[in-house]
Amino acid sequence: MGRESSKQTILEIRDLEVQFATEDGAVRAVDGVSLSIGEAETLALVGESGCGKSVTALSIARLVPEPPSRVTGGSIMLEGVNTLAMNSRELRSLRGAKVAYVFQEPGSALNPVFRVGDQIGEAIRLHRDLRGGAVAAEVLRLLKLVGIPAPEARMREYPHQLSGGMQQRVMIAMALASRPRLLVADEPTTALDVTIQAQILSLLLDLKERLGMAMLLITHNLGVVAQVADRVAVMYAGRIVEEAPVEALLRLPRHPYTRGLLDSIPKLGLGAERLSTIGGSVPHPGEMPPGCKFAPRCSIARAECHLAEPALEEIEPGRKVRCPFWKSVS
Amino acid sequence: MGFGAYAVRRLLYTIPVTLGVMVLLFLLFEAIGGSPARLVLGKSATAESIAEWDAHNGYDLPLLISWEGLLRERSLVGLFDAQLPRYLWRLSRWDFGTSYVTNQPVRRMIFEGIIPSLSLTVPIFIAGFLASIGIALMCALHRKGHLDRIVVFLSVALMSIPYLGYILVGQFWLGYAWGWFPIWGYEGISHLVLPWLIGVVSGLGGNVRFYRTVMLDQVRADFIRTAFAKGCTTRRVLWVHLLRNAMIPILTQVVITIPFLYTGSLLLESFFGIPGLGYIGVHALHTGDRPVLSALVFVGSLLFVLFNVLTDLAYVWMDRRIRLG
Repeated sequence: MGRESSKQTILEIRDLEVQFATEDGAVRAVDGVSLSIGEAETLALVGESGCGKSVTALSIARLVPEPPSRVTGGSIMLEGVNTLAMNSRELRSLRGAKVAYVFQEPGSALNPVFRVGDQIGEAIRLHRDLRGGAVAAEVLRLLKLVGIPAPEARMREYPHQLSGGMQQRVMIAMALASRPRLLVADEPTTALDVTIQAQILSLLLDLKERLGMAMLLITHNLGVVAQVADRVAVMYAGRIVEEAPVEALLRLPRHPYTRGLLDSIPKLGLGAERLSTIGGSVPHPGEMPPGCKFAPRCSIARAECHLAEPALEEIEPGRKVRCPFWKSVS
Repeated sequence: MGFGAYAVRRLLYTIPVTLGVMVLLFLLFEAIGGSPARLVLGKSATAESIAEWDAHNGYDLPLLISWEGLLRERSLVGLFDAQLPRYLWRLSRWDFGTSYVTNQPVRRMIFEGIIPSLSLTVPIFIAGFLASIGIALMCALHRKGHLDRIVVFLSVALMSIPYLGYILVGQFWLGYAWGWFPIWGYEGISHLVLPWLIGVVSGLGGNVRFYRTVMLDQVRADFIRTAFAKGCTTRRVLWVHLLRNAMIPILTQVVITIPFLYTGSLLLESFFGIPGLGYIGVHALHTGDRPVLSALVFVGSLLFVLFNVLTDLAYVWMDRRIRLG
C-alpha cells in the first residue's frame, strides 16, 4: 500500500454515520464513511456542498451541534483514541490541541470584538503553560510564522481591520498555537480572492512540511487538490465514492461522478467549447434513491444500478471505487 | 476620529437638543396653559387678585420676547424680559418654582422623591437584567431542547399577564392571605421586597424573549464554532465570546430604559404607598400641579438625552467595527 502503511496512522475513521433530526424525521448526512490519514500526510475530501464532507471533518472533534445531529455509528480514532467516546473534558483537551481547525470564512470565524492577538493568545493559554509576556512573545512568533508583516502592530488590531488573506493567516496562526497533530482545513480558500488563495495554499503546504502535521483538506475545488493533497477521497450524498492517490485520480478517474467533476473544470486555451456539467442535482437527503445514489445523474448507469447500492471496492492497492462498471469510465 | 473627540462632539450635540426640550416644555406647559392664577387662588378669586398674582409671577409679560422692554431699558437685556427667556433662565438654574398644592420648593420635592423611587426601581432593573441574561444564555446553550421550550412558554405566559394582575395577586396572596409581606408603606427593606418581586417577574418574560433571540442569533455565528474548536469551555464560550457580541444589541435596548428608573413606577408606587416620584407625579397630575409636572418632565428629558449619548459611546466601546464620525 506504499506511503500510508509505512507511517504511523494519525486519524482513522471507521464506518462513521451521522444523522440529523429534521422536520421530516432523521436524515443521514454521513453514511458509513471510512478514512485514514498517516503522519505528515494530506488527504483531500472533495465533493459538492451538502455531501457530508464538512460534517465528517467537524465530527472528528465533535463540533457538529448535538442536537440536531447525532453520531449513530462508527468510530473516529485520533492517535489511537476514539473521540466519539470522549466526555466533554477530554474533548476540550483534544480541540485546538491535537486537532485544530481552519474554517472557510475567516471574516466571520474570528470573533469581531476581540483583538486578533488576544484571540491567538487565548488558544495558547488554553493548552500551554505560558502566561503573561511569554504568551505575547508566542503570539508574535506565530504571526511571523504565518507571514504577517508588522506583527507587533497587527496583533493589536481587530479582525475587520485586516484583509481576508491576513484574517485567514491569523486563523492559521491560531490553529498552530498548540502544535496540533492534525490540521483540518475546511474550505480554507473558498472565501478568498484567487491570488490570495494560492498564497494561503502554499503557506499551508509549507507549514505542514515544516511542522510535520497531518492535514485533512475539505474542498470542492479540484485545482486546490492537485496542488496540495497526497490522496483524495471523493464524497457524494454522504458516502465515499472514490479514493485514490492524487495523481492517479486526476489522471484517470474511476467513478463517473469524479469524471464529471473533472470535466466541469473550465480549462484555459481549449477554444469556445461549452463547459460540461453533471445533469440533475444531488438527491435530497430525505429522498435518497434505493440503489446507487449517483445513478439518477449517471451517464453509464444500467438497470441494476437503480436497485442495489454498490460497495466501495478496492480495485488496486490504495485505490477504491464505488462503481462496478469503473472500467467503462474514461 | 479618536474616542475622546467623538465623546466630546456627542456631548456638545446635547446642548441644542436640551434647549429644544426647554422651549417645547414652555410651549406645552406655559404658553398653551396660560396663567394658572385661577387654579391657584381658587374659585372665589377676584379679578384684582388674579391680576396681582399674574404680575407677581410674571404672567403679565409678553410670551416670547419683549419689544416694550427693549424700548424701556434701551438695551438688549430688556428684550428678554418676557415669559420664555425667564422660564429658560429658571430651568437652567434648576429653579422649578414652588408647588401650587404643597407650597414646597419643587426642587426639594424631587430630591425627596428620588430616593424611594430609585430604591424601588434600581434593584428591579439590576436583578431583572442579570436574571434575564442568565436565563437567555441557558436557552442559547440548550436551544430547541426541553428547557428552551419551557422557558419560551413561560416567557409568553408572563408577558400575557397585565401588570395590574401581578400587583393584585401579589398583594392579595403573598401579602394579605399568606401574610409574607407588608402591602403598604415605605418603612424599610421589608416593605420593598414584594414590589421588587413583582417588578422583576413582570418584566422577565419580555426581556428573556428578546435576549434569547439575540443570543440564538449569535450562537449560530461562525466565531462560536471557532471558540469551541479552540477548546474553550462552554461557560467561556457563552460568557466571553457570545455575551460580548450579544451585548451590542442588548445595550441599545437596556441603557435607554435607565432614565425611566428615576420616575419610579407609577403603579407600584401608587399601590404600595411608596412616596417616590411616580407617586408624586400621579398626584400632581390629579391636582394640576404644573411646576411639579414640568420639573419631572424636564429632568426625565435630560436623563434621556444623556443616556442616549451613553448608549452611543457604549456601542463604540463594545464594537470596534463601528466607525466614528
